[in-house]
Amino acid sequence: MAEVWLPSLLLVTTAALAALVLARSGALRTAESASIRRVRDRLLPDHGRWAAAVARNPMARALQDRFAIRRLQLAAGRGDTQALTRRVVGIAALTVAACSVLDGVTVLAGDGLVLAPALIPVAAVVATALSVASLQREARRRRETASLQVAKTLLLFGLLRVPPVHSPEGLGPGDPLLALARSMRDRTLAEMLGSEQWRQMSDVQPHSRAELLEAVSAAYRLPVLAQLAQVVRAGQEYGGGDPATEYLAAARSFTAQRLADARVRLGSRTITVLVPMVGLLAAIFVVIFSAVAYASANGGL
Amino acid sequence: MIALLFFEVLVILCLIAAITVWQRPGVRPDAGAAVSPRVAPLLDAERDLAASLGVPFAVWAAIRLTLFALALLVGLTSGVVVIAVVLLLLGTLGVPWLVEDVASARRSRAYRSLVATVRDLANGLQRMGNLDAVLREVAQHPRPELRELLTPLQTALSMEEGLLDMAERSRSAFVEDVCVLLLAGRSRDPRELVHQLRDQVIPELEEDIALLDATRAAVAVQRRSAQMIGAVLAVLIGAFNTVPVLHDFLVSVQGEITLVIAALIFAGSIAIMGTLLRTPRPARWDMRLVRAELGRIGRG
Repeated sequence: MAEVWLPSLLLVTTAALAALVLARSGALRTAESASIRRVRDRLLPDHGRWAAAVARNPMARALQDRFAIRRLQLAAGRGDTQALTRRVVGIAALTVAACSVLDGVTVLAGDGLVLAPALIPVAAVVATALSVASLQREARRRRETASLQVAKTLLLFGLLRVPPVHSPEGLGPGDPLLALARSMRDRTLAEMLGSEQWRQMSDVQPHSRAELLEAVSAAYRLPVLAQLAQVVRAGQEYGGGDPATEYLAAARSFTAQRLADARVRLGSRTITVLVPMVGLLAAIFVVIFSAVAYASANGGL
Repeated sequence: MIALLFFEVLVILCLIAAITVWQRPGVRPDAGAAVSPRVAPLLDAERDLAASLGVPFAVWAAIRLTLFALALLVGLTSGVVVIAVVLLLLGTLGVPWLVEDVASARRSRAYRSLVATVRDLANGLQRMGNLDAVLREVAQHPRPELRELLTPLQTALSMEEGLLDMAERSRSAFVEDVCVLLLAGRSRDPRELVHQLRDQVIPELEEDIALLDATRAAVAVQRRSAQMIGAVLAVLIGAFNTVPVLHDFLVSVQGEITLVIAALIFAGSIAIMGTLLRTPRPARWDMRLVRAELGRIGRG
């Protein structure tokens, strides 16, 4: 019976930890208290040495971005800021509870522990990691789709000689960028631009159309929008060259970059893909060896 | 025995279904209002493939049914349940994988011809100064690869409707892009449009094709290798089936388990290769919506 206590203790500890994480992440706060907290954080930023070091180092910034849950959620278009915390904690708690109940039942039935207690938190961590990985995958997919959709609009801005946005206040239905995004079958870009959720990740109050595009680009991590912002700034706000030519050149630059990236990626994967190719050959050997073994056991061919 | 066979069939079906769902793009919101939302993407994919192969959908459906019947016949005559199941799956779900290279090569040729046609348009526009007239002239003498595609431009009452029909008939993101650019270009100054087409749009389209071809080449090499190894495996199993002792092996429990394992390894390897070489799905326009928006933006 003493063995039942270990999973039970683990269950209670996990529940307590889950409650702590929920409380710390603000999942249990009301919308009002959450926004008050956000304003306080902005007014009194806590930039320690660690934060400064991360800000200076590009690799650390990339790593931080990879696990910046709020940003990932925003890009993936999944729920509010606290939704993932609740989901992850729920999955971890459920995994631990299921494993603990299983162990409890088998112990009561007299068969001992099916899962070693040390494996239960490992299972919870794996379940949690899979949930975060799924979020990262979805965010990456939506970023790729949105980038391609922005690139498609660049040629049209050049041909039509129109700016992508009309006002720095925000993106509205009358802005060509949003209107064209809404004309696509996949709604990813339209959803990103149509909602004001990007402001959750941005403290900037845009004073120009270029700044607006840069803010949206930074919030969703869409470099092609930053490229578009540069064209807007150069062509229309600083009175640079012909904006139509600039938009068309930006479209070409984006495609050239994609082509170069694709060549590098496909070149590297030509080697990687040899691994599953071995699997195809393995299927042949499995059949041959099994047939030979059977024939040998049954008097030969 | 029956339970084992049922289990084997179930495992293979689940694996193939998982691969199909994995490899297939997400459901498009506008896909086929008349049919069930689950069937619509599958039907759409078949229509896309038929269009890429240049075969009418009805003919394509007949070919698929014939292949299914042929797979069933060969499977039944083999006398081995697992082989029959694998052949049936190959004759249904495996067909797009088998013909995709032919379809993409055909698409690539059509895209190159289309870019050459856009170049002809730019030349004609410089000479005539009217995009609609040049479009109609080009459509009268299409390149062989574009004969079917440009038909709407010959018969449509207005060029705008013709371009929309052409885009919808193509079922291709690239052709849609060209049509959208031409729709946008109709409201522009012809001389300026000629320069934009020559200096920026045509090079951009050529780079798009280069990108598609780079991906196609990498995928085609792997797919061809897998097809060759699959053919070797099929010949091997076919030869085994003609030798009495090895036929006994194939119809035994041990033999069927072996075949299921080989099928799982084969299908799993192909799925991993597909994942490694996957590229983002091209964004596609809703042609009716974009026409309305272009009109509004152009006026603004």
